[in-house]
Amino acid sequence: MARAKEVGLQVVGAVEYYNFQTINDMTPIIVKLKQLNPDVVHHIAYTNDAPLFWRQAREQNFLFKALVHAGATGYGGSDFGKAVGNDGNGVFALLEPGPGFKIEALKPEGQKIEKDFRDAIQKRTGSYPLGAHQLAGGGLWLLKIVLDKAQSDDPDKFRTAVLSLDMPVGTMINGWGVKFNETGQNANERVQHYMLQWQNGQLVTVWPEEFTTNRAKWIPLGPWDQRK
Amino acid sequence: MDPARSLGPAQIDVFAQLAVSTILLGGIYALIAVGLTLIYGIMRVVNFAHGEFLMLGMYLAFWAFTLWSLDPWFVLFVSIPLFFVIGLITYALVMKGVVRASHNVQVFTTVGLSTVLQNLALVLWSGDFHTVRPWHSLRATRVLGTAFNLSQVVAFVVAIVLTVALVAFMRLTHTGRVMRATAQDHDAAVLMGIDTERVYRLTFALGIAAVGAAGVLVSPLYAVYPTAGLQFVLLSYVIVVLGGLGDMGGALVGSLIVATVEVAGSYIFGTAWKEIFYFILFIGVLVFRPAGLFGQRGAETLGM
Repeated sequence: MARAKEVGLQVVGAVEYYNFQTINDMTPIIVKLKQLNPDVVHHIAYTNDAPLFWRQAREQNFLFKALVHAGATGYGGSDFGKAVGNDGNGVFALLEPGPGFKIEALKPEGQKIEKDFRDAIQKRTGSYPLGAHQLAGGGLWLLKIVLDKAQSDDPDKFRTAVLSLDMPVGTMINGWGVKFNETGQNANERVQHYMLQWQNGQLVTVWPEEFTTNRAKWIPLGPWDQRK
Repeated sequence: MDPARSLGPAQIDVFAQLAVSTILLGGIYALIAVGLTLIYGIMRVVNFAHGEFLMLGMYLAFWAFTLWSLDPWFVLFVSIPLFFVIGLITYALVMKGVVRASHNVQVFTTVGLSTVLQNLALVLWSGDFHTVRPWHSLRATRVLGTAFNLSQVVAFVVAIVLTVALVAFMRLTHTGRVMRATAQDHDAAVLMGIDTERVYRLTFALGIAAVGAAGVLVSPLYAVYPTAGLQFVLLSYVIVVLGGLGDMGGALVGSLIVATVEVAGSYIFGTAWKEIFYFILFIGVLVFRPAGLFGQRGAETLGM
C-alpha cells in the first residue's frame, strides 16, 4: 500500500480472501468493487477463483480499464484460457516470457538454451512453455552450470561457485541474468520482468517491447462483448 | 470508505443483487445437501464420500460435453439412472457390510471410499482442471438491475423440484412410509415384515442419484478436478445439521441460511469472515438445538 502511494497510485480499496480454493460466489466482492469504481484491478488469484471472478464480473457488467495479475497461477496459468477462451481477452499477467518472445534480444548462450528448452517442452506437451516452466527450467540449468564450475558437491566450493557467477541479462532460459549478492539473493537488476496478455485464447508476451513481436491491446478494456 | 458501510438509493440495487445471488447459491447448496440428508435420515450413516460422487457427476458432464458435445441439461436425464445404478453398486460393494456397524467403522469406510474415488479420478483423468462451457454458462439475464446466470437459475429450479419430489415421495408413497418406518425403528420395521436391507439399498441409490445430478448441474459453473467435491461438501454437513439431520425441507432452508451468511458476511465484513460466521452458527445450533432448526428434539439419537 505504502509503495503504491510512493509511485503515485491511488488505492481505492482492498478485498482480502484466503479461501481461494473453496470460494463459490464472488458476486459480493464484485458488487463492492463495482461501487469503488477502480481503473485497474490487481487480482492475485488461483485456478478456481480467477475464472469464477471473470465470469461473475462479466455477469455483473463490472467495467474497469485493466486487470493485472502476477505469477503463474490463476490468470497466469493455461487453465484460465481453457476456462474462458476468448472471453479472457485483455487480462495482463506479470510472468515469464510467452509466445511472441524475441529470442534475438537474448545473448547467444541464452538464445541456445531458450530454444532447446522450448523445443523440448513443445515436443513433450505440444504447447509453449508457460509461467513457471522457464523459471524452474532456468533454475535447473543454473544448478548444472554451478556444478560444472565447482566440480564438487562440497558446500563451500559450491557456495564459492555460486557467488562467482556473473551472467548478464539475457543469458538464462527466461532472459534473466545471474549475480548473487552476499545475502544469497539474485540481484534485482539481473531480473528481467515481462508483461503478458491474454489475446484470443493465448497468453502472449507484450512488454518490454524490445523483447516481443506482440503489442498490448484493449487498453482501456471496452465493454465485455467488444473485446475481440 | 467501504461502500458496504454507506446506505443510500444505490444500495437498493446492491441489496437486490445480493439477494438474488444468495437464493441462487442456496439452490446449489440445497441440491448437494438433499442427498446427504436423505442418506443420513434413513440409514444414519454420514456419507463422507458425498463430495466425491458430486465430483464424478461433474466429470460425467465434462466428458459428455467434450466427447459428444452433450449439454449438461441433457446429461442430467442420463445421470439420474446412471448414478442410481452407481449407488446400488457402491451399496453392494461397500456400504452393505457397514450399515449396521458402529459409527467409527462407518466413518472410516466412507472416508476411505472418498480417498479411493479422489485418487481414482486423479489416476484416470489427471489432476488437470477442466471446464464445461455450454452456451448457457456465460448467459447472464438482467432483470431490474440484477443479473442471473442461466445455468445457476436452472440448478436452483431443479433443486426445488428435487427437494419437493423427495419430500412428496417420503410422505405420500408406500415406499416412503416404509423408509420412514425403517428410520424410526429398525427392529420394529423388521418385525412388521419390512425388508430393511432393500430400504437401505434404495435410500443410498436415491441419495447418490441426487448428488450425481447435482454434479452435472454445477459443472458449467465450477472447475472440474479430482477434489472438486471438497469445495462444497464441508458446507453440506453444516447445512444438514442446521436443517435437522434427515429433514429434506430443512436442508433447503439450511442451504438458504448458509448462503445468506456467506453472501452477506462476505459483503459486509469481508470474505475472510464468512467461514467464521457459518461455523459459529453451526456450533450454536449444535449447542442449543442439536436436532437442527426444524428437527424434533431427540431425533438426533434415533437408531444410534
